[in-house]
Amino acid sequence: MPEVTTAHYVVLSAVIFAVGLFGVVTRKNAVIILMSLELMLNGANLAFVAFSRHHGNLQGQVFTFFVIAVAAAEAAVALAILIALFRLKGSVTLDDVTELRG
Amino acid sequence: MEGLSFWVGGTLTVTAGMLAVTRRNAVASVMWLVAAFMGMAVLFFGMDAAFLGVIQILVYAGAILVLFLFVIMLLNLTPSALVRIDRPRAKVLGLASAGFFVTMIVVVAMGSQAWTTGEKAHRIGSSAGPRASDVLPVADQLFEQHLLPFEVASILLLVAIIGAVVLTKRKV
Repeated sequence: MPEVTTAHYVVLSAVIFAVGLFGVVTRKNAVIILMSLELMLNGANLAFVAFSRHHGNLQGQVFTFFVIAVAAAEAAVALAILIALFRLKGSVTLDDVTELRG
Repeated sequence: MEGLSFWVGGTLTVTAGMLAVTRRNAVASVMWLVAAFMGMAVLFFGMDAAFLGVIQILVYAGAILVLFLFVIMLLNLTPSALVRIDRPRAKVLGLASAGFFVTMIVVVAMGSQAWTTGEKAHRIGSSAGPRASDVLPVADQLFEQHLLPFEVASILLLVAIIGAVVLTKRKV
């Protein structure tokens, strides 16, 4: 088993981000798209912590802490919007919400 | 030890994440995402970031995903309401963009001398000073160096609470 280096963590974070990206692009249910977004944020967090350790500097961990706080706020507001949308349309499928399409 | 946490946590996160974004049933999706976030916590513990590992479990797997679960139950998103076939073109585009992204990062990461040599010269938690896995150094950063962003984050959370209440209480 080769030694685990920063590059390993960077590649792993890219893979996690890409899995979330795939979900955002392919899914139509807005709740699952939001969950895929959370996965993408986690991939970015992993890169932050990996580089924090690589440089021997704790600022990356502190930034990850703030990312988690912002993700919590984002999830709360987005889910509130989805509930309002569901009341209005009776659905959270993004194909039913195309008013802004030109 | 660190290699073990990397491979176990990484495999768990990627596998559970793939299952989470492809499940038709939204509740199953949330459950797989819990597993993926547990894998992330394993990775954090392995990287001497114990505080973030605990926060990951408490806030992500605990609070945020329970919120998702609550909304899914509230909206009653049954699998039968989601049986529409996914767009095949979107699937191809999603695979292409994800593959392109990973390829780019792999090229950059493998080409970098500093990232691949496994040099641990700057490693936090060397003999001098407190160990990085302790909460103390993180608390020092958070409350001494970054006090203003910390307070701003609390205001952001307050705004999010009020915004969520306003959005859901309004009669449409």
